[in-house]
Amino acid sequence: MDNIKESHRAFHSFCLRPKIRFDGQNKKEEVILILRAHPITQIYWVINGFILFTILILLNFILPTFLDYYRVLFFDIFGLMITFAYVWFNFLGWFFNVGMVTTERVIDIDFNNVIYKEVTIAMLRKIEDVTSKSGGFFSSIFDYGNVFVQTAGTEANIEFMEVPAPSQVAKIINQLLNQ
Amino acid sequence: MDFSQLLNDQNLLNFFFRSFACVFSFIYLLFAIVIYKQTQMMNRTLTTKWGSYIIFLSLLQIVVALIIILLAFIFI
Repeated sequence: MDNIKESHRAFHSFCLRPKIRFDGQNKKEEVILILRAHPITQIYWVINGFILFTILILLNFILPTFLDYYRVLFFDIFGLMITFAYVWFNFLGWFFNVGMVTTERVIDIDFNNVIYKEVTIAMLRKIEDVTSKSGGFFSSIFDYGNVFVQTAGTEANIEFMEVPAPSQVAKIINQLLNQ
Repeated sequence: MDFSQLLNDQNLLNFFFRSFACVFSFIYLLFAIVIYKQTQMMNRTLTTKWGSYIIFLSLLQIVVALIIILLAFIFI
């Protein structure tokens, strides 16, 4: 694990040794891996954002026929901010929904709809099994899938959904378990 | 007063447009404030090198929301 250098792949959805700190991190604890959903799984809101922007531009050919200058300006600014709010909301949901692998534990931080926070932690010594699953056309092309971390007894299990290189994630976790 | 007269009434249209502008601007401001507070909380949970830029953009959203409210009250 010491020979792993900092690297960022797939638009920072697979980050090795990132310079990141999280709430509750212990002093000697190091972050080995940060995972986010593969960017291709987020393409829908990017496209929706472009569509909203295009609709706004097209409306600018119709609105001046029955609205005055200031109202068209207001409508444009408001429409732009709605589009930005939609894109920003989805970006924040993607950016802060992370899975983390540290030298001591595996952590899943979920912000559902930005408002609800759920943190699931599994200590490395409690992990019993790590399974990676990848299936489907797009998953094969873009190499993303799910990683399931099973823990002993009543400890919470952790799932990393639609993350890049799931087999490599499982390999890293197994390497940490064997140390 | 018949329905077509209502639709043609410029004052009524002005009233509805102004009401829409004020109400939705205010709702957008509330949304922007909630997003800003949540962004701060998310940044405390996960501190990255882009944290300050993300918080800045969320704060900018509040500023623009205030500008939109001002536009709604003054110019519409």
